Amino acid sequence: MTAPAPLLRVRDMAIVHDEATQATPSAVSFEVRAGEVVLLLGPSGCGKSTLALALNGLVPRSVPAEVRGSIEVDGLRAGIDSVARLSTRVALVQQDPDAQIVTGSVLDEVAFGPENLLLPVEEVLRRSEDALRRVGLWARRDDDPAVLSGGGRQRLAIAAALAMGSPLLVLDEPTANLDPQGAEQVYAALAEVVAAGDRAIVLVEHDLDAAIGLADRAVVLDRLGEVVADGPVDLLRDRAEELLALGIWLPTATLAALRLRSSGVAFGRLPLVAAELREALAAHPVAVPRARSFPPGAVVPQGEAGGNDRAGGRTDGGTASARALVVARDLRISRRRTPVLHGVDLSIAAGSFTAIVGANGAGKTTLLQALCGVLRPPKGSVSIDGVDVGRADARLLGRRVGFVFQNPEHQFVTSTVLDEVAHELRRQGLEPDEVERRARATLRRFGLEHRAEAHPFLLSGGQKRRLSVAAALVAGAELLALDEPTFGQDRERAEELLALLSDLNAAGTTVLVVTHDLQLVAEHASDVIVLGEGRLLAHGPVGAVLADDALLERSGLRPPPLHAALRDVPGHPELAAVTRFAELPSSGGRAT
Amino acid sequence: MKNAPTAYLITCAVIGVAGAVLLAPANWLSTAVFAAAPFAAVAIAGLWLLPAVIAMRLLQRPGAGLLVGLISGLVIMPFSGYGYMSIATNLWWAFFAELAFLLVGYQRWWTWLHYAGAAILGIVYPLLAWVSFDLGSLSTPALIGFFALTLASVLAATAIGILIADRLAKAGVARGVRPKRRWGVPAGDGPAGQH
Amino acid sequence: MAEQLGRTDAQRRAAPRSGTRTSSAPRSAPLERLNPLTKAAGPLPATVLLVLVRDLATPAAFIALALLLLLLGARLDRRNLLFLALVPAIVLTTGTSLSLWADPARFEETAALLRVGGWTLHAGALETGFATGLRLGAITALALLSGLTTTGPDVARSMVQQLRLPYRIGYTALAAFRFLPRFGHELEVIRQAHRVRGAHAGRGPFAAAARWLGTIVPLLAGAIRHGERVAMAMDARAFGAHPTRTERHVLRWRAVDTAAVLLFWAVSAALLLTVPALAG
Repeated sequence: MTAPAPLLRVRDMAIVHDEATQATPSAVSFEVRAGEVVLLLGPSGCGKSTLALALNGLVPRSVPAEVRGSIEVDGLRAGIDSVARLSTRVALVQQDPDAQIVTGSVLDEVAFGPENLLLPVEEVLRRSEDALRRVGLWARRDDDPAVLSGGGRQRLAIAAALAMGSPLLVLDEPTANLDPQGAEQVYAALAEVVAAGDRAIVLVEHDLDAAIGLADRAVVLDRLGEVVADGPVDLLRDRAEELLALGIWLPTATLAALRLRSSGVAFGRLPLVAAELREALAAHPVAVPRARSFPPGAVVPQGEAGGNDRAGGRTDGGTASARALVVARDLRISRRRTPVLHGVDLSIAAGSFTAIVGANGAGKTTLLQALCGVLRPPKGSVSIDGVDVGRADARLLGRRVGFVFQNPEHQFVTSTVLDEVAHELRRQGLEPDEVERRARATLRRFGLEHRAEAHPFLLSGGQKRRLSVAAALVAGAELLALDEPTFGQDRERAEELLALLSDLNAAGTTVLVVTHDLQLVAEHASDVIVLGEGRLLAHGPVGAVLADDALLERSGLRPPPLHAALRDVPGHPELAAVTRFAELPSSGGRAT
Repeated sequence: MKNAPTAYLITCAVIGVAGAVLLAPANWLSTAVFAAAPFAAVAIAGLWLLPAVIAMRLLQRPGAGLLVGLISGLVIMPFSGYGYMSIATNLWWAFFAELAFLLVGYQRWWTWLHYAGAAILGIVYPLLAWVSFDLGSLSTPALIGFFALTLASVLAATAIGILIADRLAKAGVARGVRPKRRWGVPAGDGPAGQH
Repeated sequence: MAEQLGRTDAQRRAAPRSGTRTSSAPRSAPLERLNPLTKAAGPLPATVLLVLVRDLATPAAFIALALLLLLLGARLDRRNLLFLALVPAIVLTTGTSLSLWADPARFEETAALLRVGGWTLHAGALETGFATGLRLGAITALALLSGLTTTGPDVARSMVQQLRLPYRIGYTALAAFRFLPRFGHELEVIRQAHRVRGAHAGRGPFAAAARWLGTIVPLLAGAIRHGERVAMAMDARAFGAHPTRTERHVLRWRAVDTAAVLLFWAVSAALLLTVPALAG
């Protein structure tokens, strides 16, 4: 009794991009059988996205690269057979929901693929209805895809992929560009597909909390793009530390367990999902000790050391120099006669690391832009360090606040990295020698001096972001404001950027960030501003705000994953207010 | 066109849409200026040439200009109200961006060929306009203005188009679609950039 | 993503779609029910031949014909009525300005109507100017016959279905329509970002032109890269698998279309031949 042939067989695959010298990925072999769900994991830069695009032949047809080795799918060979033929065997869902829309209605979108396959009209409509019902969009079939939310558009992309009728579905970081609500929608739709069992799935995903529940197997690549693990998803439990060292971001439950284990909590097998974590903790009789040092903004239980400045600022010995840097009084902003912000009053302390959070459409970006003068606020309603933002000109503001837009490329105005940093200095009227000196010093500080002559557009994503931060701060601004700086990036890159921001904050820069990633907020911010429908719902230390479940629910937000996992563990009320990993005890092992 | 990669078609479409965004107000401006001083309206005529020049310079493939003209004409239709005339107009102007290259069989992509095509347009258009607008009736200064402005406009548009396309190439755009060795800017990102 | 696009989900659902109507929307007006190409083919000979006409009455006749057809056969919403009003506006303004810019020396034999200083406005100049003005008005009016009764996507589809335009080009054009709102938004953000960075700050037309130029490159660069991702998505859905594809929005060429074209040609010919003679 022979096992059925695998649906997908990848053998010794290596891909060299046209202008690169090394292969990423460099040595990949694995198989996928019909109906299997395989998680493809790896640190940034290992080539997993490239691998996903090679499975249906887009690499090398659309992306200039050389593919070595072989990829066989259901009798066809990727890279040799045309992408069009392969599309009947491999369907792809990409990261960017907007880049997958080509028609004017939801139904047309799903029908696009079957129509291209020259199927008869009845078959096209049958497949489209089937796919749309599966992802829950049938009721919206006549809507313009542009009015769907991000999660809706990704579900539409999944439906379009399902309508192709291919036995293999490949998803390349499907939630990277979505907020938590959107990600939730996508995973609900995927869960249905997995439950039906009619498709094999290869899922490239860096945020494992939701994905882990769906997967059967995991294939792990290391930084060089070689397969280091290939087996049932349980291998993550056994090789957790090894994978962590590789740069893989493990599920929240696993990371929490790793820390807790070192303080004596017994785990038979490391948990992968929150339910397992809670189960293990419930069986642990002793209260979990809190970590020794209190990170900024942590809720200090009664009886512990004081120095907890609830109005913002740092708690760990840093002076609560609660000088108000940014003050807003009755800030009202309207866009095209629709009010977006309704009378916001707030005061942001110098030296704080403040995050602005809120549901979609709450007005976060508008608030950030109004506070920093990108959007001109009414006179007298916003001041930075005493300067009225409504009256100040751009040059004056440039000395006080550096604003970083979501897409760094939007802000590049010169053609070399050095000029980009020098631009602001020149605008402030400094002497050329001084400009050169300070610009180069800034590039060194941000690790970009080796690219000083390169065109800004040719930098990598992370480098572009560092450059935009460097250019914003070079003139000595005290306030750094960033709009969704981790959008579209994986956890490693996001963590890298936030670490940079934390360093800048420690050195004295006040940081103001709009984001929807609440776990990152918990890890790095000191204060949180919660907006809801243009109104200020809360402004306080991060530990207090993010642990306030009622508040988060009112604002339409999901609690950060760690808090969600630990808040109602039977027998451990001491964990109910934990929001950041650093609050869990560890014996000095690798910090998350 | 059968083997043209989709990315190439889409890149032309993108440039076409950008052209349409540019041309929608220009349409109205041109009509308004025409009302005041007919010969001056041609000062912005170059805008109709610009998108096609960008495409030809960046992509250096036969038909890129015409494709851009077609798509910018299609996209502008709801906004200009001129219906098929928009498509015809845009195709007509885009054709001149291609003309010189067509005449050399698309074997050479010298920079001066862009200007040659524009210069031909700068002469042909006023001659055709002579007939349709009955230019013979205008005073001599107005006539001279018409010819001079047309020529200046299309030559300026060509220069700007080449500038934009070269900057786009330096920014590493459309790498999979444009040829490896381009006239103008070296394909790879070389050391210290010009511009 | 809703945040990023500057509108909440609720606002987006409420906002009407600008300009485009999918062909699945009900087409009520008679002219709208004709095949898009009908409205290109019908006026074509007249548009071309009008260039050669020099009298006042013929273009006026065509204007009357086109406006009549539009008033009877097109949907009369505010946008279309505005366009219709455009025709007399063009005639009046162009006619006047061409008359004023005409060379007085050429029309000395005709009656002098106005004298300002050394310059004279002759009747001949007025006549010639308005002849051209009326011609332009007529060409515009004929163009409106298609412009006001057809949507862009339908034109693309009819070019694919009737004119055998390769479908990949037609559907790339359709995809291009999706880029339009994105362009508008990106341009706004880039302008904002450049203002913050103080690029080419300054008044005057040259600074404005430099600013415009500075925004074009990031706009096009971002858009082309976005386009490349769209192209991959299309390829991944078998775009170009076969020379043709299944059509669900079918635009047929019917007998009424042929009849309409032939009828229009006949009327055009009649007008072109008889009106100049009648007007003397």
